[in-house]
Amino acid sequence: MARRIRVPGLVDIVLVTEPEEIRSLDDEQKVDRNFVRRGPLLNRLITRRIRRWFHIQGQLLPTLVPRSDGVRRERQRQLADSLPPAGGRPVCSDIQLDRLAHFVRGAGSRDDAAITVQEVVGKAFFPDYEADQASWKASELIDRFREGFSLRAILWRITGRLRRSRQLLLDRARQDRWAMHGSAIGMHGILKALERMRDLRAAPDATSLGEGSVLSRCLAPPSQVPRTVEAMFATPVAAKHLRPGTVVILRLGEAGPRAPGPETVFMHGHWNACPAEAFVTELLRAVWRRS
Amino acid sequence: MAASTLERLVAGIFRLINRSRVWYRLPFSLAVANLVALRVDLRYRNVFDTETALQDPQPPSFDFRHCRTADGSFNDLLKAWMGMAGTRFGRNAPLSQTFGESPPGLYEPNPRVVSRELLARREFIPAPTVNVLLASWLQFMVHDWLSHGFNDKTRPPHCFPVPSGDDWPKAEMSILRTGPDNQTGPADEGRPATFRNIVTQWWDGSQIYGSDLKMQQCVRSTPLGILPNGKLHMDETGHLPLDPEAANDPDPELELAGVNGNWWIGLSAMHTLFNREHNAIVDRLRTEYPEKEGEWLFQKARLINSALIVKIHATEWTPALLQSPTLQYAMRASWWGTLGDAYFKAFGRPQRNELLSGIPNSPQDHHAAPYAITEEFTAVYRLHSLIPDDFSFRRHRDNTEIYACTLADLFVGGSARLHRKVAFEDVLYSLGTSHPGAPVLHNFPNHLRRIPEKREQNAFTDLAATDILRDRERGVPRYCAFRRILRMSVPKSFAELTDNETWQRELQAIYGDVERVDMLTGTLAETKPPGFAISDTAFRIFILMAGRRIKSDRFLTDDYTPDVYTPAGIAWVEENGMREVLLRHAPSLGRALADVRNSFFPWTRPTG
Repeated sequence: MARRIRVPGLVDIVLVTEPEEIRSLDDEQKVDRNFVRRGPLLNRLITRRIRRWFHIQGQLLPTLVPRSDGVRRERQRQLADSLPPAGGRPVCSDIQLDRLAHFVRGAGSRDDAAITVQEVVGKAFFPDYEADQASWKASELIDRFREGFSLRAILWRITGRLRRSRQLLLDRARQDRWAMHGSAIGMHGILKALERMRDLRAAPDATSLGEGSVLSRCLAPPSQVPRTVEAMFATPVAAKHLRPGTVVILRLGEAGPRAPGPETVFMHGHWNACPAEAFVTELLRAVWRRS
Repeated sequence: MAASTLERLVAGIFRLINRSRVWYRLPFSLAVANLVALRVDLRYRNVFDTETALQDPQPPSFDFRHCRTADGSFNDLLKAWMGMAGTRFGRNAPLSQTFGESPPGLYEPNPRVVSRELLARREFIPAPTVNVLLASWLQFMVHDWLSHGFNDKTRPPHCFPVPSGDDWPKAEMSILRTGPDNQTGPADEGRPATFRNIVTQWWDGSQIYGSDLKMQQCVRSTPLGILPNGKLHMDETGHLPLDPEAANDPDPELELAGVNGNWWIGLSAMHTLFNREHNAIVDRLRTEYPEKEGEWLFQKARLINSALIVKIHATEWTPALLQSPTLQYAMRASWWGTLGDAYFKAFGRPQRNELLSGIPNSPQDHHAAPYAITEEFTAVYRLHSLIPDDFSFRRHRDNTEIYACTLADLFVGGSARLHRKVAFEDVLYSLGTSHPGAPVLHNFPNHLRRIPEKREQNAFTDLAATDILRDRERGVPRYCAFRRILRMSVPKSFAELTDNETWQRELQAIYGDVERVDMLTGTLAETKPPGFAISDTAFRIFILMAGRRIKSDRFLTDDYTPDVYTPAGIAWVEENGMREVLLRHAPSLGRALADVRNSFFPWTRPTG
């Protein structure tokens, strides 16, 4: 059963870690991504934070918009059909592949690999996308900010670093929500996978590992994703009814080891399936082979 | 159900303590508390479900609320499929770390080299504190819990070269692959391969009664049909009947049992004993409930017989294998609770609290995943080293030898033929007074390293090499990785793995890197806790799964009650043990057992 933190008027959050429960709540129509200000104080702060920092011209990033959003649905479908390797297009250039394989072999720095990953992701949207140290650092900061509340995050807000980083990434992504999500947030999943791959490559049992095993060990879902409750309903996941405004945190990172595979990592087969599944898996597979 | 805050706190404290001091180096009371904390930790962090799309079976026309079904279904009433025959093995390692190994690493180091250089028995190394019944019991239990079924003959086998200078009859060794899971679906995409357990996963005596209705009826039947009195069929001499299905086999004298694969005299003795016990329970129940029919008597006797086996395993067999004061106490506490058996016998179970009154009759709980036997459990139970190569059968009255033979003479029909030469009491006496092998390197029975499959084609099986390959094939993590998964310290060198300097050199020569050491080799080489016959690594899986087999089973928890078992049935389980079973069916063994505290310790030989 999920853990619920509930203090009337202050907080009402449900933390879900079991794969089966995550699946059932993700499929539940009354659980959505509607981040309007409501519910207890802390819930309001969470939704305000999401609305304040993860929008582009008033539109939230695609992973934060409701299931009923027609634009999201259509673009999700288009992207799944158009991102490489669709149409036989390579997921990255030979030079990029070499650079990433070089990193996996244990040479090269994390920063260099990160810039290459950001470039690969960006170019999947805009062929002339350019990544550099500044854009990588900006996306690193956004990713850390996304992880949750911290003193450092407050400092970034006060000093304006957060705003500048966000603006830089927005400019590089040409205000495109999907390109912004991929180059600022999604790329970190790929980078983490490459870091794990580097560890695997160095292990003495590297020759025993099949590609399926490598992918499964390297791919990791985002640590957590937020959802909101839209109408009161009873669920075996929680002892008491969930109410409108309750924030549900699907802790995919903890569920991952119990249910590895595309369903957990990419929400494969669900309404919110990641359209970049084929792109990411093909990229990682190519890097492992090249390394 | 999730761990309580207190459980999490205690588990966390002991995790910190164990960073500097392992549990068996703590004072007694702290070590006991540490074991409880370890079990909590393992229950919530080391059980993983592999099922993806199971449908509940149709309810049988049978009182499944009060009796065990033949196939193990409807034990858990919410997930009726749980633990039934044909469901998947679970895992103790996170699923992403359980992909089977691929060539070339799959064959590195060469399994035959590991078999020959590290496992082969040079001379018999006995385990002097226990007897061969302990080894027999282990296999008897394993046949209850698990079987991967027939190997896969449709795909090419695993093949690897036999090193030059080896006396293996062929230049290449081939080992059939494990039978695959043929019921996978889209939800299994991207996940490691799964395997199915063809017997019921519960501790329900399925090795005696079978895992389907057909087999259950078979063991209850004479050529004239099912015995109407609820008993299991035994021949006129009180032995197991011959298996009718083996009538056309090269050796047609295989005895009949719910599971009779890998048959030898140790299994034959255990099956004979507990078939007789079933029939004795039926007699007792008939006296108490004369109006009941044979079917009812059979089903209740099965429940009672199975629970008695569980009790013997928890309170006698395991303490014999793990002879430390902490474990003696902990294992008895798993059945009677921390208040102990004296309190239990005086006042009964005080409440349904696992810690105070033991797991039986406490609330059923599967913890982090639906119940299933795991692949890692299968791997740590590879204890073939316990089996001796040579046997001497002697009279219990004067210890004179009747018949000496090798393990090969006792395989399959060899057991039935032995029963014609040696009385059942003398078979038990001989096994009870002989030592099994110690589970260490260089002690794998040589007969099992060259099992004839088709002698005319020079086809043999090296079970030691097969054991090594099976773990790699099924994605059981190697030794160091496995210890990491269990949050144990990991040896950085061979010297940290074992105190034995010769073994350190041998392991270094074969593996090169300690990270490559196989689970089986590592657990056999590992320096063991004081009094333990097995490694601390294997013990972690034992302590997790031993409790789980009971705690998940409705008939051993919520329904371990006089209502389900009958008052006479509960009394039978609680008042009997291995000694009572032995003396009931072989009463002349009284003298041999008189001075023995545990029936799995070596028995007394007559003097003078």
